[in-house]
Amino acid sequence: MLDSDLLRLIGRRIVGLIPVMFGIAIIVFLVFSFVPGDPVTMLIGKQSDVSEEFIQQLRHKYGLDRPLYVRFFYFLRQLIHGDVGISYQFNRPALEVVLERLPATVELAFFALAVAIVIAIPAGIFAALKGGAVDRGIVGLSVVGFSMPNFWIAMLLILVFGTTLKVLPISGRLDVTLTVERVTGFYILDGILAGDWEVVRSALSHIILPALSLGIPAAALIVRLLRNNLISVLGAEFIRAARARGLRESVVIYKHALRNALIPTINIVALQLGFFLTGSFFVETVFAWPGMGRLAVDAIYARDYPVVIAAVMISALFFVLSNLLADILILVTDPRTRGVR
Amino acid sequence: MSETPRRNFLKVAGAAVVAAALGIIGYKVAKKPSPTPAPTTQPPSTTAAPTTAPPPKEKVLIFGLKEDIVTLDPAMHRKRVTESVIQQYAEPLFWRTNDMRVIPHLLESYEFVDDLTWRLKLRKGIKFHDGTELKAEDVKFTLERILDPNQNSPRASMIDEIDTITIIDDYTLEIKTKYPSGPLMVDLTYQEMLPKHAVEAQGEDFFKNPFGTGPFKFVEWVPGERIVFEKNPDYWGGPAEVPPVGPPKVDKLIFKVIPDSATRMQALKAGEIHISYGFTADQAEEMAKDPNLVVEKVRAARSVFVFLNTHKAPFNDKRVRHALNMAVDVDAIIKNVLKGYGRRIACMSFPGVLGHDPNLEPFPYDPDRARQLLAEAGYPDGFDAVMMYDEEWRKDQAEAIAYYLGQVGVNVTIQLMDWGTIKNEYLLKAKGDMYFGSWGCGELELYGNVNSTFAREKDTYAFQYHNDEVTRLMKEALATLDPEQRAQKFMELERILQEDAPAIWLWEQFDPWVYRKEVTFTPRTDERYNLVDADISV
Repeated sequence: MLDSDLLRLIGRRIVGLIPVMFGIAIIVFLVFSFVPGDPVTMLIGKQSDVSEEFIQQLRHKYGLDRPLYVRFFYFLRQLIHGDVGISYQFNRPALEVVLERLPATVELAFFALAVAIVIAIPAGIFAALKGGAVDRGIVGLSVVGFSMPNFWIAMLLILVFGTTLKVLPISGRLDVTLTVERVTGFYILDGILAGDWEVVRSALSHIILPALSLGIPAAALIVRLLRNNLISVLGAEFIRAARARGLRESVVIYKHALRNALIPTINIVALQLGFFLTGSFFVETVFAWPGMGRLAVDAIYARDYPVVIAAVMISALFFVLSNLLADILILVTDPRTRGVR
Repeated sequence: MSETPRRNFLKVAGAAVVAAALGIIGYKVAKKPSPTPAPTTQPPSTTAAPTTAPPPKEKVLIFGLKEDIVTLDPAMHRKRVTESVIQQYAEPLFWRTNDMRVIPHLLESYEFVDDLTWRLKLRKGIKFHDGTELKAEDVKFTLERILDPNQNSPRASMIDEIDTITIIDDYTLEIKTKYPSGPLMVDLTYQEMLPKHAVEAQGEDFFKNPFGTGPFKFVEWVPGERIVFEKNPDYWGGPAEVPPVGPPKVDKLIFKVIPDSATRMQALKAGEIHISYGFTADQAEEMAKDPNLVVEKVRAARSVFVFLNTHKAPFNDKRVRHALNMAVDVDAIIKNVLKGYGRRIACMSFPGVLGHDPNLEPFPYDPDRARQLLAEAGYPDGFDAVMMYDEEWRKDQAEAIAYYLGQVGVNVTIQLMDWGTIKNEYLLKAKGDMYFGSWGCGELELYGNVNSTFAREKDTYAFQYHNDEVTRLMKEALATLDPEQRAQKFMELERILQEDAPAIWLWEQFDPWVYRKEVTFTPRTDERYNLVDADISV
């Protein structure tokens, strides 16, 4: 039964998630305990009025002068209650600081995925069916697209569409003169909910360039994969059989070949989603996109490890969830996998 | 064999993408202000209604920040950017004019009752944004909150010479210090006053929607994205010594966070922001070519140097330290590497700092004499050394210094490390050879970047450098209330420090500040933002 298969899969993954999250939190905590530099020094910076005694006092107040095993014990006790501590930089719960930035990252990841799919699926099909020069052209382009680092694509897009043509904004999520009530934190959705089309338009125009920067390399990867899969499927026995039965070519391609070629592609697409959610730091920095990636990297520099732990835990959660999503999609699209797991 | 479905699919998809792109492009183009003024094309109104002139367009000034603020609570940070943003809504007792004189701001006057007692008189009629008047109890509350041990304020050490604060009447207070403290006035320019009644009533929640007496009212902070203020039309205007006196000229002030300097540069060019700073010299050169932008070279109130470990051979020999000072062609580095964004200094101070001696001459650039001094000290073939640095963007500067030292036989390896490690593992333990770095002197008095580095009694950051004379003069200067006499002590101190050369003295830093042509703006040399006088033509 599909339903029980699915439920079992989801249940198993969610139970498995708990030790993963704990393990990650503990690893990050320990790594930060051995990395040189301390949060209070970074908090104070280079100041003339501050004596070393004062710095020690602050370290004491934050509990940083306690032995590692004591701090580790307190940390574990907190963690069991779902608390990763107070951010040194922001003087607020670290989880709250990170969750505030989450919608920006998720919104961008969603659009990047849309870009990747919109470009990759038609191009992959086109290349596989046309063959010849068209195929070589698309494959060549995909090599270029995949070789370009996303921050480089970002700079290129900024120069062309932002500075030269002046048609698209290059920084932030929304025109700063516009405000929208943050219900979901996804500005486009919030704009629609508020019925404020000015906000929707502005948010859409701000997301295009960052989504392209993240989506283009992913599209390049997916194109190659889809094309190769489709070509090998098109040469398979059952396609020849389908054609021999006199089915229309479009039915052969879209119903028989594409469906089979898409299955291995879905896995990669879902993994890309995990990558967008966790690895968008460069793009977030270049476009001043106030997401989680940028926050986490800044927190590493500031030795603000409660924020780092919270961000890493959420990233891990996303990776596990996007893998789960891939498995569910495959289970749904490919009947042969049912009952196997 | 029919290809229609495929073609149709591609056509539809393609058309959708193009339509979406055009929709947005069209929107942006339409939104652009037309270059010709609109009124000439407007049809004349037939109904005679001369009073219904269109309301003046809202003036919005957008300031590009290199980093987000960390809090809106003036007591809970040590960040310059955070402080400069908070100062838009809340104000200190003393303030600096644009030419950096310290003047009473929220105060009408101040006097010394004796060496330990300051009597402060508040201006009457200054109102918080909720309409209540600023009183002595607010000042007492704000300062005591910073000093309260339970508050854990990282600013407590700035004003910890304060012993007691006594309210004389609604507008008069007396501050007693534990010892005579010259710098207190400057340190009070960094503490912004809060309304006692509101902070007490709301606790930490006050800082979600804070208010003060400042020229702008806080509207919202979207972390990582922007901080929005609106004009306070009832602003008291600021002191008469600093004209123009009056409310802000812009209706809305928005700080937009753009951490990447390359993006910030493009955002200035595209007009997404109006004012920004924190650029490299190369970026400044590029922006100077843009006809829409004004680039100003502004002093950064920051000295650049190389600390030498005087506890360790060969740097324990003063001849070696002098030789290193003569080996580096500072002017060539300023010209070629810094593109002019620097000025050679003789020691740590620069013009404008209280205690700067304009007659103090820098070491000459003289590689021959440097080689001779090294030979005299017993290093005719030079030696190897490691130079640590922590500010990544100074890599080419570090390389240039290493090049010049190499020319006299000192083979320098440069090594990038983080400040915490450098400070705790090397400087304070007097380990390692050299540290290339910079120290800000926003206080604009010599103690600002000399006290903790070279002069305090223990834990000096210049590899635990200690010189009895330097320490004594610093102590005396800090207890001298008269600025003229304090300056004399500072000058004597700096002469001794320069000659003892526990560092290679290099340059004072200049920063490019960039703003769009339609903006009226005066950058300051202390990285604070004077935005009450800033204007923009719309």
